[in-house]
Amino acid sequence: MNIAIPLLRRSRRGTILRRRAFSTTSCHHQIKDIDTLPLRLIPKYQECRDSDLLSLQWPAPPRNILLVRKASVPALVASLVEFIKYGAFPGLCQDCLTIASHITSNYPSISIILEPNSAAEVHHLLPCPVYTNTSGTQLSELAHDRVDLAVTLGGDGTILRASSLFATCHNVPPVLSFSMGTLGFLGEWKFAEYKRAFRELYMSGAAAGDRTLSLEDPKPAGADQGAELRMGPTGWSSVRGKSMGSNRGPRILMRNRLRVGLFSPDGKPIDSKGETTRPGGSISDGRVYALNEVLIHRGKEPHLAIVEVFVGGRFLTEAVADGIIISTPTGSTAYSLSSGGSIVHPLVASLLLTPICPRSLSFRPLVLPSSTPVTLRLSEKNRGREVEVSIDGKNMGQAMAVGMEVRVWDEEIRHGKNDWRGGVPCVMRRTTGVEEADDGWVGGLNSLLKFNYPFGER
Amino acid sequence: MTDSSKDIRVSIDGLVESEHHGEASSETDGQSNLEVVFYPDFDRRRKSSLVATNNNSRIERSRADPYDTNTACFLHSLLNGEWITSSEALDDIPEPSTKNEPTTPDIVVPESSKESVVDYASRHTEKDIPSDVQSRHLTKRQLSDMAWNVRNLSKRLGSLMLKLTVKNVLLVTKAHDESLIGLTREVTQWLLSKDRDAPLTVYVERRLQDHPDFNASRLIDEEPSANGRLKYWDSKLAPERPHMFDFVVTLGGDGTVLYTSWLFQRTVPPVLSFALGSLGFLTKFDYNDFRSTLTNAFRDGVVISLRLRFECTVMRSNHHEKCQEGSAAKRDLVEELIGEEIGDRLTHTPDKVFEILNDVVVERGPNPTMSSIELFGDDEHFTTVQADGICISTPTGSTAYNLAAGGALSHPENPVILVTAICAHTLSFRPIILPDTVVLRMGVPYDARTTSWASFDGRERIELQPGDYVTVSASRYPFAYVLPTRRRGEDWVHRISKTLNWNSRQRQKAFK
Repeated sequence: MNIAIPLLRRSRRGTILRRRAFSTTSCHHQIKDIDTLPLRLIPKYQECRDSDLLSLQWPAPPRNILLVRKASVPALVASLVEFIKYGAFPGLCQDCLTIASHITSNYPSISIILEPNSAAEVHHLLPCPVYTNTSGTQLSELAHDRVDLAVTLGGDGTILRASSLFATCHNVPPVLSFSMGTLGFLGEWKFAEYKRAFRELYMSGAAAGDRTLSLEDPKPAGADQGAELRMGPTGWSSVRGKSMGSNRGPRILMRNRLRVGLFSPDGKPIDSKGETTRPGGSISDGRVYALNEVLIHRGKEPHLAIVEVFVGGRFLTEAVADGIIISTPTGSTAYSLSSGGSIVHPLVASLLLTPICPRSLSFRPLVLPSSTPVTLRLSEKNRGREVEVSIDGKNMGQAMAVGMEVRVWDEEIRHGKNDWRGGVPCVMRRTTGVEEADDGWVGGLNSLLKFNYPFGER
Repeated sequence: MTDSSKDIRVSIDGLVESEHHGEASSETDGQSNLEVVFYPDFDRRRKSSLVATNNNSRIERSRADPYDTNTACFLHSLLNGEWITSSEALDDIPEPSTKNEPTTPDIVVPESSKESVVDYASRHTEKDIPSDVQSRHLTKRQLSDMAWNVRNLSKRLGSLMLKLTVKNVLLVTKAHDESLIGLTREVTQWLLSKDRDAPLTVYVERRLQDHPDFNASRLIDEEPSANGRLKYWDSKLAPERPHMFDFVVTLGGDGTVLYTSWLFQRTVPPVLSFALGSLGFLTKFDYNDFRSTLTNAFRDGVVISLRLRFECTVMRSNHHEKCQEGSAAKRDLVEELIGEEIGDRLTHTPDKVFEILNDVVVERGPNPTMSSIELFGDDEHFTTVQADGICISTPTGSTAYNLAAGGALSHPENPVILVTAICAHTLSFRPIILPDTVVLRMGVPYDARTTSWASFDGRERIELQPGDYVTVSASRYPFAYVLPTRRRGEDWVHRISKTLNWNSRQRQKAFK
């Protein structure tokens, strides 16, 4: 939208430089297409002796950083109005700006990728271009090949949204999350620690390529100058002096996802447009990954759904209920919890089967081994009705009709001793002064859920 | 417990009720220090539940409910009779077993120039009850009185055989089930037969009028005296003229009985339900014995039981055109419903009223996010429920959605309201059970992320916008149905064992 409103441009020090007209031409060259970025780097993950969590090694410093912020409600115009009135962007946008500015000024050759609406709001306030999908293609499709690292600003919902962008991607980039308010379950860092968090993650693996880089020795070793030269000016050498050593790198919790497919009555996979596709092949082969849960629900229909449940290929029961949830351990504190399911630690490889308001006195939620495939089939007794299928809170778009099946498998994430592919690698927070990275789970349980809250007034 | 330093003044308004209640006793003049106080403003009605009348006069509740000519149902005349305060009432309610027609209590009620919400319906003396309704929200005292009276009446009725004079019978069959048309025809034929003690007028569903399986014309041919006695009802007739029917017979399951309750949004004639298939909770009679059952019912009388219904009023938030300075004035539902009332502006308007037999559910509907619902009881804000929804259920409905949501199973004679959250996102929500004199309100807060949807007995899904709320209270129109005379009780536990497999487990063998 063209709005001729004079804008104030700020330098990094915050002083006002000059007035500049907001015109469409200068907008465009600040927003670039994500396709022009180099391909992403795939980090390696390794087990640590001192922790249940993994360590991460970048083969080279990450370059393409995706920033995902909390879905905000105010429209572009309202934000601009706020800006003009108060001289600053409201809340979240400011945080997004702070991080983006910090990264681009302190780390060379980093490209910031934003979602299209964020890009439109923020790009003119940054001294460098931002990247997004300018063509019609969805950001989620383009992001798989280009994003080295995803940074989220917001709560659990934002992390889920970022993960949904990679819902059809087998190899998800590491996710670094910052909480803008209460700390949730997913191990977010406090926003105030963003500098340290980003530095730790950025440098993770720097010591592996350069043996002498450590806190004690700021000079690069002569023997490795060749390696540096090969890496070029984008190597870690340009941020020399900031490495913390390999054993102080961030810890990664690899979260298992579920692989979900919707199948027609004759066994063919159905994609989100409702067309049956040939199995295997492109993204739209009906395979979607769920970080929290996949659920079937009657939606706005007043009648109950009748679903046949098969576990490991064998018929378990016929559920008459509002819906059924198949959840990961990560999702055990989401909808599954509301429906009465157990709370499962993310490191316990399992799959939860929880009914939603079953018409029974004796349907208890089940915890199954993660290797067990589960199938939910909509019974003919539903009399021609359809049910909704949602993954991580998002409707799949394609309703499930009688005879269709939802098939759920565990995502295979460990292919060898130190060969981790798949899962969502979440960078766990570390509080200053505490050696161990904590997986955030206990904190979330107590603060968010008020787990085992005592009787009586505090 | 006496505090000699303070004298608590007694202002006992309408103290005579206490004799009925048997509860709060009035200390006689002998004991001066311990006295009973009734809150003086429990007659007061909050602005959020008021309705502006046409002449804009000050709205005040009149103490007595004048006899409602539109509710000429026999049972409701008894209920009406009980309500009048003893200064104006008869000494005792009329003996039911000796009367076979609606009683007309000899009460002269002073015409009040001031109107109240409750009296609105009775102002219409024409036969048709208006289909648009106003809020009939009763004050706390009226509610307590009414609940007490219904309970009292129910107890008495449970041990009496009531002989009704039946002239008009309404026949309700399970909808959309073609196989039942034949059975409906059988019952209709039997009812219309000249062998019956008195000629009956039978109303069947309009869609059967031209249905070949029903073959109405052949029915008349076979039984010429039935000409003019076979009539048709549709879903408008029943709510508009409930007093046309003396008796209702249902064929089907619990769903059909529920539908019958839905048809009668005011008084309900006594309902006799035949079970056609599986055992139900409300269907007490086996279809195969229908001839003997109905013969005995008409000849010897029936035992009636009353089931509590809820009256649910949907209140819509009035949009204030003028917004205050700065950002739009932030309205707070909690403030509007229980806080101090500022100004004369009415914050809400009643939109619809429903009588329900099972439950009222406020839920997220098609929205993917949890709904946020404020829950109020009388003048107290209970909590904000973040969940898929809330289910407020009658004891009858405790085996419906309430069961699925994890609520308790309640015997139908319990005078309670069951409140259960549907998939609450806290670990500490337990279903609660409240007395039936509590007035509950469920509202969507102004800052809710999404709208919510309300459904009443599973029907009439209505979207609730931020600021709207639903009032739920015991209804003055309970559901009257016929119990088998031989088995006086409800045999409720037997039914839940059979249908729900309640506590069924392989019995552990003894050691030896």
